[in-house]
Amino acid sequence: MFFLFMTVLAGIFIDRYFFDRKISNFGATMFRNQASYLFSGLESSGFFFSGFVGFGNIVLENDALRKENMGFLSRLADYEDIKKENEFLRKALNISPRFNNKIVYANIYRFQLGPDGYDVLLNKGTENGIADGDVIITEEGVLVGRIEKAYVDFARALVVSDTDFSVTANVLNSDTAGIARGALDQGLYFDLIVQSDLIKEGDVVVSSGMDMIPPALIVGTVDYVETKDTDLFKKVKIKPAMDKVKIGRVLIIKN
Amino acid sequence: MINLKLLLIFAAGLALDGLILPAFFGFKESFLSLLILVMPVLYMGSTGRLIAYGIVFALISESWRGLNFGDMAIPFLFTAAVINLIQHFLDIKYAYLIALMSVMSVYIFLFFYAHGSINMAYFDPVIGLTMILEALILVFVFNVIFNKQTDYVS
Repeated sequence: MFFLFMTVLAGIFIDRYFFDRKISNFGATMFRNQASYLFSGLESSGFFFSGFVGFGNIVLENDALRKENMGFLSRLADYEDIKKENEFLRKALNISPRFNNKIVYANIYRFQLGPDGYDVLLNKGTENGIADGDVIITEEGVLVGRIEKAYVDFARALVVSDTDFSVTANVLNSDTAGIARGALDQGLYFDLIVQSDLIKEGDVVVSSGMDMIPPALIVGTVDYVETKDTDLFKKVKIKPAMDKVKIGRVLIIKN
Repeated sequence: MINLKLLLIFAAGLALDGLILPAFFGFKESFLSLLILVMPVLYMGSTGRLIAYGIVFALISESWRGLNFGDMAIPFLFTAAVINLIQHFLDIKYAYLIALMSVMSVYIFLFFYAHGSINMAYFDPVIGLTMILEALILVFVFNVIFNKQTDYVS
């Protein structure tokens, strides 16, 4: 066993000082394109088949979505009006656009709970302009995570449900705000919600933009609220929105 | 032949863990590849040859996960040393007890991986039960592949 231990130590030394970590990154880089296609394909197939499983509820679901859609159309009209007004005011007051960050498309090709939180790999790296701390979102505006470590041709990501991840967030259309932090399979905990704050199950939680993560990105929906008069804060759990959407193909917002 | 069988089980576990289960089933909390790492040492005994296979599997696994060289191999060696120590005192041959031992070994592995600490989020009942279920399935697979007629391993 001592011989094996010394062999591994020698391997670490050789990889770090003679091969610039190319040996350890070999597996992650070798099949990244094939694995990306496979991951996206399997994800699409999975969504297709899960649609079949819930086929019985489709009429009720369709009715609910129609009602919800009408509400969103009304909101969209308001939003367009406010957007035009905002653009006009920004030009008049000479304020730079809200989002002027560059966006890079990437694919997730590995997503698994490992010994150090979730092991999530993306097929783009520093050669594509990605850097540590860049924010990962889906096309729907759902927050997926941020880049933990960017290598030359791939990157490791820290997803929202990772225990090392936290984001300042608020409840949509409400003043209730706090810090959402990852809790692995439990989703996220919404910390610093005092007993007087209004929050209920089903509320949508979005990023507030008070940290390095842009505002108005969907974090998830409130899944559980525990109120105790003896405690200062409420215990709130959030179900991550990224669990409900396809994450095979993502956007990276460069900081 | 045993090498080839172990390699096939390991490759299947790696593909299931990182690709098929999360992408197709949306299940991301699988510990199959870590269980496969420790299971042969528990199932067939902590011999030098099986520990060497374990190191090779750990090196492949860490490379596939985008980790640094030795990130998983070193904790695996320490875990194998603990298993070796346990096997000196306890003669565990009952296959389903080995499944529980493998779950415990994964926690020992996580302890060494985090340099002597452990993230308490891993003690979640869902993660624990998933691991137990996967370990039981894995023992069943080992029994079938290695032709064990009884519930006791030699």
